[in-house]
Amino acid sequence: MWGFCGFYVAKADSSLYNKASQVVLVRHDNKTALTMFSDYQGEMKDFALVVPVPEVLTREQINVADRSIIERVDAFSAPRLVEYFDPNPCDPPMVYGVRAMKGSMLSSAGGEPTSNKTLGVTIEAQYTVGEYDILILGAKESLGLEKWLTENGYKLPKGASKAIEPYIKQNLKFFVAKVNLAEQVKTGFQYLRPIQFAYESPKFMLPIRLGMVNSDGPQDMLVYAITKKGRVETTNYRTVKLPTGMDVPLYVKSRFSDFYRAMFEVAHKKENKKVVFLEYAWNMGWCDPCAADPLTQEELKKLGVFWTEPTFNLKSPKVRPGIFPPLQVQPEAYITRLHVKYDSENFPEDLFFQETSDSENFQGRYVLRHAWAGEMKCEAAKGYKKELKSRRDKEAQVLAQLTQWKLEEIYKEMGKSTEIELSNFNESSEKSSEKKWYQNIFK
Amino acid sequence: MDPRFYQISFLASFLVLGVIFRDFRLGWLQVFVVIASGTLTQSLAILKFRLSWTTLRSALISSLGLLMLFRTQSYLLLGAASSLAILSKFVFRYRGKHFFNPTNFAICFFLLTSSAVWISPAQWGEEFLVFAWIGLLGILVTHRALRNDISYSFLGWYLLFLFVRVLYLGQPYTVFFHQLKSGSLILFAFFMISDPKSTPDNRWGRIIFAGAVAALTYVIKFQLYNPNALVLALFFLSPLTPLIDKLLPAKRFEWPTEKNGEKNHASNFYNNIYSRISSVGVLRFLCGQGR
Repeated sequence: MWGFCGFYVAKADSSLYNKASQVVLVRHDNKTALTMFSDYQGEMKDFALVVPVPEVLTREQINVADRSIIERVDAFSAPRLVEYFDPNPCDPPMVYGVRAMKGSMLSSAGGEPTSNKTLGVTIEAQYTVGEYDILILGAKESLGLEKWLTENGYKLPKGASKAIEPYIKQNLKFFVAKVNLAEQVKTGFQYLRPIQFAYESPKFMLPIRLGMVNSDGPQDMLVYAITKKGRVETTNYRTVKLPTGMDVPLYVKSRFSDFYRAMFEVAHKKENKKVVFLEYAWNMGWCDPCAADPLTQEELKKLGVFWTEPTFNLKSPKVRPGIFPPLQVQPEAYITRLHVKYDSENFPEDLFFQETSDSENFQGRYVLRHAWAGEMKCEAAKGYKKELKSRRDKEAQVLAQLTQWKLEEIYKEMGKSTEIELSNFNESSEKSSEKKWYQNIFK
Repeated sequence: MDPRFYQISFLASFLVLGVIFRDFRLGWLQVFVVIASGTLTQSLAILKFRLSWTTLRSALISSLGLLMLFRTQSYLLLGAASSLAILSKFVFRYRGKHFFNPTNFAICFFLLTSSAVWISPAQWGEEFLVFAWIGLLGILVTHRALRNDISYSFLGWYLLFLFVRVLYLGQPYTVFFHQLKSGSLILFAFFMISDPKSTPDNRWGRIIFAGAVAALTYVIKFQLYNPNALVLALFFLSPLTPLIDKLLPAKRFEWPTEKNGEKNHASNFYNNIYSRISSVGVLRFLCGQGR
């Protein structure tokens, strides 16, 4: 099951599971803009979300964003498949063509509160923003808050008060959102849009512990951190790079999502399920190859990038102080895509982050290499054939290692395309050897 | 034998394992820059102040410590940090004793003044700890002279604070164990705050000092939310060392090479090993009798 950094509470007994959760964390100095999106699949009336927040948020600090903006960030930063086409081995070397393919791992499926002082719960603020009715609650003790929520028609997952307690002790407020059905109909969407809020706090963290309360197993979350300087990493869990840069068999193209999930699963287990994976780290001004166009200034602003003026950061190691600073038309923004699969046993603490000044690029990138399909008439062709065969073997082994798919099955899947490749090749090379010596002269 | 050899071999093997099994973003060139810059600076100091060439061992320990913790994309900063670490020993002195741990000084100086450096506190992960503990036990058993009381004292205080916090917040105990399983914490406790040259000479002084560092670490980490709390706390409190030494005077620490001369100490060491081997022999003998 998939989770979120707050937890969902149900108003009815229907089980609530959020399939995929994605969080955009825009941060500079102590200012944070957070966008949270999850594929909530249940009844709209049953939806409710509780997230600890560091302060009482005013209406201006809360917003509802379009889903498309999350899809854009996902597409831009997703692990990608790249295709190269072998040149004719008989021709002099030439530059390879590049085609990028997006490999988004997440399928994009799509009461009146009463205050009760004896429970120690105070409604600090309440707003209707977009399709959400939002309450900011302050609480003195967790049982009081649990009771308050239950009395007000929220069905809390078992163990909720235990999970809430540490946040109350740290003087956090609770952001509680549920769907205003009338407003939801007005939006015309069949889904719930991402909620955004902005706040100032020295804490650079995501409260994942609450999200574990209503889930049966590990949950996946993608965190897109957008900062000014460089890569973001977790400070209380090891951040590990996703395996990348391998050549994989051609058939992976049609099964990229399966490949990606299997590979992630294997890597996750290999690291004893205790790490956070780095999937992408790049300056948002460019990409190579691009899985999707870089985000525009307008889009960055929608995500909460508040330093809108272009910056010329002379401290950046890429830029040498001196003649001309590079011309940048958009604000300097660096994106880090982190993928965390967490459960209560292996992630006992919330995720804490730090921004590093590491601006080295990283991407999850897998390579398909197409064989030369045209005619080859030269000695080099023989060597090429041998090399192609061993290349395909290596690709199969790499795939088996990455995904733990069975080698026989991989060969079976590869079989068709490889045979065609090799038979094409055989025909053309045989043809060339069958030609008479004069055929080339009088051509 | 000089206990610094143990430290060097432990740090070096830990570093090599880290580079192989953990992505430390370290290349040979970086290793070269740091070690060359550190040893060169120390060599100049040796020539200038007519010190013993054995002090190069300490310089190597400082360089290895930097390589383990200090991260930057700039070679210039790496070299500067390594050099600054050594220089700090000769600049920040009181009555002939330096009071900053050299590695700690260089790391904190650049953390506080430059935006181009960072530390990755979680880089070790949890699996490395087994190795860390084995290595440390080896060192502790062999060399009691290293004033490890400060390490125990620091860990004791700090873990107490962590535990009380977990209890107070009502967090599950797994949180405490997760915080405990931090490779950075163990390295800090046994290789940085334990530096016998820059910490107070008096045992009680060290225990108080360790408590203060633990308390400040707690405040920086949990009140100011700075992930570099460990090194920063030591940095800010290091200037207290001369004061503690004044209030609680005791015999100054010296490496064995500085004390009795290498040869003499080496023979002590072998005698020591010999007596250990023979005690193992006696044990075996007794066990054999028991059967």
